[in-house]
Amino acid sequence: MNKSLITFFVVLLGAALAAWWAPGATVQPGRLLPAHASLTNACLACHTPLKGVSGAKCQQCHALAEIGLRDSHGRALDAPRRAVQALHQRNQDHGCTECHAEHAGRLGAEAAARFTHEGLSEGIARDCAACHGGQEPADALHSKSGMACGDCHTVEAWTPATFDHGSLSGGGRCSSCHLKDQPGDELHRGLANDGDCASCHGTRAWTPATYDHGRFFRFDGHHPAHCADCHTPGQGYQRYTCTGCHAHSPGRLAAEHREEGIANWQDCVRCHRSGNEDEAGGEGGEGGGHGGREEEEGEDDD
Amino acid sequence: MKRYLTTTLLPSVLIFMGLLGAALVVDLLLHSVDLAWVGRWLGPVGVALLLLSFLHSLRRRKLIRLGSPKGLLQLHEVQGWVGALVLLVHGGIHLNAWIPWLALLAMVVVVASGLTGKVLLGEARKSLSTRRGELETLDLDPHEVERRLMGMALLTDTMKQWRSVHMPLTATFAALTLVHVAITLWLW
Repeated sequence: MNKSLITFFVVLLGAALAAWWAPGATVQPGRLLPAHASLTNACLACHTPLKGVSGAKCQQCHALAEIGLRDSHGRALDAPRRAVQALHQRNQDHGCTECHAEHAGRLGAEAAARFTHEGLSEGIARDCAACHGGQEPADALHSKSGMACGDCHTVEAWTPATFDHGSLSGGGRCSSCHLKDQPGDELHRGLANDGDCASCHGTRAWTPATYDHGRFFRFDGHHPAHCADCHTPGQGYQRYTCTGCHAHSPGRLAAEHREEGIANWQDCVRCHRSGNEDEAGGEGGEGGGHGGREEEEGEDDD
Repeated sequence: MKRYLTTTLLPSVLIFMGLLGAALVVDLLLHSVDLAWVGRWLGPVGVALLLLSFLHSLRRRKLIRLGSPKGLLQLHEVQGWVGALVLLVHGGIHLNAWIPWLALLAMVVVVASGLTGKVLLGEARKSLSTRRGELETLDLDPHEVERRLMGMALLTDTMKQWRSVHMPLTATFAALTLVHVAITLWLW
């Protein structure tokens, strides 16, 4: 027999004997967890030849009904964990090795860290409550939503989550869910709880937001957008004055409007939506009957 | 001597060091992108590549008639290097068990042995070529030149001696790999 063939069979036999004699040192792909260390050379305690590791073998020591309540020797745990027990009960159709790694060699936490939702069968993966039951927040958003958890949350973490406002039934007000999100600054204070958030904010994020000041007063070259020129800090943005500038002294304004027969001249933007003094179009009359703000919006759309 | 080092020895040393370096780089890359688990499945790929590289041995022993010996030798060299790289990544730097580690070590030794054979083959061919040139200057009959070159048996002897080392090393690697694969499949 040639030298190579002899070498092959001698090494083959030697290695096979070594593997049979001390499998822990010669073939196992990493040390067992400390709790399983006594099984180091007893491969068949967990492995079934050609079939791998079955849950049935694990359960010979770890009775399914007692996981989280008792240890593998049947002793009651000092701090029983009902949630752990429930988790295993609900997932009893799954193989232990889908989540628990062995031959990892180091920490028990390493085994737990191996759990991934991708390993779950489709049925259990869609039924989040099977494992996460009781974790659902009791707030208005979650109690009203008829959506599945997976519609907003991912399996990586609860947050960040995405929420499709389009899935809500119509008629709801933003403040029914976002009341606590409303800022307390001057800009928002006057909006109270029934503010029309959507006129400035979108449903994807609070910012960026758009605010159309032109709905109330359009700026021009004579009227730069400095809030404090017209609004008094601390009084809210719904209050304003046009008499702070040299061109709009109260006496002069009163006189000019009196000539036109207009007595109610203090609410300037009711008729003048911009710096154009002719914008009111001579529709004045006693009592300031220029029409309501809403009526004028259409007319001023030039 | 310097020319011998740079044109003959250095390429083989670089090929060998390149194998170890490439294995480290690929392993590091896989770990850095959290794909270290891929290494586990590279075992069958590496074994398949090395098995395919044996086509050269089968052709040389006339057990198959597929392909040219020279082409299969080149394929043997490339597949041997790539297969070894894949298996080094598969093994990683984890001293978990002796048999797979010895198999890996044997494989690295076989690669080194193969590269040594490549150097020896090149040198022997060069010596033959030089000797042929010398004989041809003697105005000998071409058949006489061939007869005298055959008599040198330089190439044959060198490669025979090298093969007597390379093949048992390969057999050692094959036996250790077979035990590793068999136990992995048995205790899946």
